Amino acid sequence: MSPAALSVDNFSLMRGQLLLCHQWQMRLQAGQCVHLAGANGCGKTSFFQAVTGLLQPEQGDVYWHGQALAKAGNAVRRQWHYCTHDNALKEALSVTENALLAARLCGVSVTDNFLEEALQEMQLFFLADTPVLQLSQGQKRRASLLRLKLVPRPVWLLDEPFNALDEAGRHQLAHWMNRHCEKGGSVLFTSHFAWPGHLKVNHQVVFGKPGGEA
Amino acid sequence: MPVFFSLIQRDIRLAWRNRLDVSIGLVFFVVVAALFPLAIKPSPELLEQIGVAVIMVCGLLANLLTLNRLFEEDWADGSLLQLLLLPIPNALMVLAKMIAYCLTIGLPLSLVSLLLHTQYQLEPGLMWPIFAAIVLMMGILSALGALSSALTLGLRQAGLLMSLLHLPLCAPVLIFASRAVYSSAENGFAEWWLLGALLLGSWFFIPVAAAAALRLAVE
Repeated sequence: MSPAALSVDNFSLMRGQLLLCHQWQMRLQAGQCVHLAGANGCGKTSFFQAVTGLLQPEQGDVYWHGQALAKAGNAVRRQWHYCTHDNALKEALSVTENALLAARLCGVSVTDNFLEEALQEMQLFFLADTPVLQLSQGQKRRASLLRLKLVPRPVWLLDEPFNALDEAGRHQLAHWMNRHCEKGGSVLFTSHFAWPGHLKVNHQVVFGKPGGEA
Repeated sequence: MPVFFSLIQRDIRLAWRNRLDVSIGLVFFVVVAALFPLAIKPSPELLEQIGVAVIMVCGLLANLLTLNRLFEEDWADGSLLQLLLLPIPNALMVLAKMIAYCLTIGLPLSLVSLLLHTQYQLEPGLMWPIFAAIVLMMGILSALGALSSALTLGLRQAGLLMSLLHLPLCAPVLIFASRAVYSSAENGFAEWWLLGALLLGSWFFIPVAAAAALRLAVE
């Protein structure tokens, strides 16, 4: 059996004096879309940070495709996209420039057609050359999600991606998530609100509680 | 490696887009240096004596003013986290930012010093030593600034704390840079060698420390 795209074993995480989870276990297999549930402040964002190596867990290991994160080199960072609450967009640059910059920093070159397709799908085509400063919150969120399509990566870690998106935007993002999982990628996302009906969520994992196995 | 150069190119492009913010440092440099002759009597002998020192100190302060360009903007919009997740060592990412910072702020400030050399009517022979000393000083200040701004990122009163942290660290650099201008073969150009050593040492060690401080800041 091939190793899980992402798995944590015996995982304990602390934030200051607060114990967020204790000897927790979770698997995310390829082709799965998993919802990470939990109350506000329970540590979902901290979990994402620990899993990407930005926060050290008290105990336990994180495995990316079978490779331990602690021992992996820098190349393991090509395994995921981590989309946070912030949009990570440079306000002085336009939507196109931000998208191309993100792709270039990931070492990927994007053809004009592909970029146009992505912009069309996210309904940003008419805003392609607008500085991000002038966009609305929802449009900025759409612009920040462009990199999901432009740079192929196996695992998507999405922290409340549906925030600020309108009906059409949520529909499109759900469509992208479905397509990503169909092609063998995996998605781990959080959301406090109901997601679009056509989004295929394999199962839900409650952060910190047992039952995180696939 | 291509990621490294893309990073430098990115920062240069952003500095160009925000060139109004970047030129604040340049204008500050010129204005403050121009204030000194107004405050004390503008006799050529006096200006010649204090000229080099004033240029160095004002260059240091102008650099301090623009240090927030290194990390704070990226931290504020969430790009810093993505930069820390690039598939290159974090220290290399910091190095790329330092190089871009030197090119977009250190170099223009150094060029402005040539202008001030004329304004203070200093000896013509001092022009290139002053330029060289300031270039080296700006290089070292970029490194020290990277460390100070990484350590104070996201704190309240970050600007004030950063100044308190940064300025004492810059004291040796300032001393060597202003002495280096008058350095001669008699003491074997000691100050130049010291500046060079500080430059190499700071650029070698500080990216690692700054990267660690940045990881703390985004937690």
